[in-house]
Amino acid sequence: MTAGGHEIGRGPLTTVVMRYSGLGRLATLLEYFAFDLPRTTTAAGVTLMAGLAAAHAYLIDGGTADPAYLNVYRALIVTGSLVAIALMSLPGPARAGWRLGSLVSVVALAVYLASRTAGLPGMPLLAGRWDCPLGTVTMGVAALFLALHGSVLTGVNVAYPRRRDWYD
Amino acid sequence: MDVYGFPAWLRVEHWINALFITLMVRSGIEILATHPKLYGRDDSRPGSEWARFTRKTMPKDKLYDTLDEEESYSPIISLPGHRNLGMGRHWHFFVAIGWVLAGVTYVALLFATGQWRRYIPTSWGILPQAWHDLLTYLSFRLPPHLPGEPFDALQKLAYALVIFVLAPVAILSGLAQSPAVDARFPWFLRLWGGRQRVRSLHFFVLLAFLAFTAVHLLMLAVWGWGRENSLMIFGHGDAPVGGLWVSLVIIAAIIGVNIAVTVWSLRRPRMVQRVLGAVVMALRRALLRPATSHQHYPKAAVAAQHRVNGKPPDSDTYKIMAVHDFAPWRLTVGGLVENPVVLTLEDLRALNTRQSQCVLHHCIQGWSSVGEWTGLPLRDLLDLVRPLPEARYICFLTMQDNGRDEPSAPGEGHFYEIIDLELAHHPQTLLAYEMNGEPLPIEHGAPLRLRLENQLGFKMAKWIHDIEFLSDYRLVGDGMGGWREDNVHFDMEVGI
Repeated sequence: MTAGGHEIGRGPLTTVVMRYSGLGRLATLLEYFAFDLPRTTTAAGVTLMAGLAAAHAYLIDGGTADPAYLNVYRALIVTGSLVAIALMSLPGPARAGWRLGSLVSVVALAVYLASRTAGLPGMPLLAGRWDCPLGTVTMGVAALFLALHGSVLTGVNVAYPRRRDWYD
Repeated sequence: MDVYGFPAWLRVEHWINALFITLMVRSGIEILATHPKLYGRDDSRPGSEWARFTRKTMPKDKLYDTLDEEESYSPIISLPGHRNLGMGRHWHFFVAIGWVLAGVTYVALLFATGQWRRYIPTSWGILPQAWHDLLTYLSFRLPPHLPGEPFDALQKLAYALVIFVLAPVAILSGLAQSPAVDARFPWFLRLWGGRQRVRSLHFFVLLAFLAFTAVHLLMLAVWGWGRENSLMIFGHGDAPVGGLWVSLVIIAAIIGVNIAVTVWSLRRPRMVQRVLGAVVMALRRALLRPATSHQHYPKAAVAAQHRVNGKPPDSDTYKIMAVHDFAPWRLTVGGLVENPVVLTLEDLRALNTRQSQCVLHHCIQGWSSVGEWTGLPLRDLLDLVRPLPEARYICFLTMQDNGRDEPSAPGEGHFYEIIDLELAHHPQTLLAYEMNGEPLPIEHGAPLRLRLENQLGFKMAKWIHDIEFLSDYRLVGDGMGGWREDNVHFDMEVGI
């Protein structure tokens, strides 16, 4: 299906799902939006990843009595974010970098939501504690990265090193 | 005097502003739909846009023009929708006049009554306070209001930015897209980085207003919809239930007005054109008509590929003339003149006055391009034919038959445009027979086209073969002053 210069590929199963789920109409709407800002898109993705890394690095061993596994988890998020940034900035593995970024974002989002709803092992008091600005920022940054990557996957945006081949 | 209260004038202004913003945004989207692409450079080179809001792609194997690129958006988001640039422009400018007047009145009253204190910070201490408020919001809690004031620090800064930064930028970036303003004050356009950058900025202003409105509504819900609306409707917060219901009635009324003007525009476009056009055109004549073009772009700015609006005449007569370098072509100049003439292309070239101008072309759709045009100043043709005292308008008849040549155009008949005689005296009003140092290309109007550098592009008739001097234009075509005025309801006076 051609859109404003971008294509959204669909197999038979995807076509059926989109038709009966209402996602087809959303996809049609998205076809009206197309941007040719690959470096800006990548810069935005890199900034969001850097924000995610910074937020988690700030919390590593901050003199609190957090369980050790939490610091390991935070270090993994920081490392994953930094690796994603490096990959996204290179022409070859950029796509892998975006996928890693989304994986890190999903994990960060899921762990934060789990910590505030069910609580975490050794930290039951976190449940219900939504009054943490850094946590809210973490949620927002992770959600924005997922939305940005989604816009790249649906063709609304292109990320470095890709460009549009618009002729008109 | 309570400088933080909600006096009647402030409340009335608020709701008028809410109505105007909805109309401005929707009509702005209609205007965007006509060329749903945004560029960074003034040549609007095809494929160089940074954003497009269309599903259309153009053919590679045949000539297309910018009319083919127009989108038809839903009336839900655009006013009136369904590809009605003329109507969208009428509403955008008509409401803009009201919005500016209301805004100036509002700001004047803010300062006259001391109410400016509610928006303008008087201490740098508001910045750390606003940061603290932001952290409080991020904690899903509500920060305290500033002592004795109706807002917290972050809200106060946000309102100040919208009223004293965003709104003026909206107005000025709109003005910077006027061919009359840009032709008279080219430095003003340079200030904004160019025609396409200011168009993109105007689009960001639209997004900013939408974002502000969304956050504003969210904050109302969070702080208490009923109480906040009670303040803005009754002037006190003691009637939250009444505030809730009356606010819903007002919102329904705003939606109702939007629906009414949409239906009116779609069903009676000519009436809308006459009613709104009377106001808008009078203001344009008064403010923009005196703007004389003083453009001298460097030749380096000339676009490698100048976009085209309108397809050339597809007649055997025209093709035969084109094959013979337009030697058989004749320009008839008549009507209310002392000395009617018939001129060949050679006659035009042989006239002593030959003028070149490197200028920015403003299409009504929003794209632009720089080109160098050479030809005969129209005022010199006037000296030759000597218009009679009763002549007030000039009609340019072209060889383009829209029914035959332009399937994308909503109408038929030969293309023509009419201008005031006054415009003919402007120093850069030109009958161009060359473009960028070469004979005028067919797609740009060969053998002769009009250049009016303080008007929008559609007034610059191409493929001209007849010029008539008139005392009144109302008997020509549908009487609106041109083919596009007749068929797509554009204004005759288009300095913006």
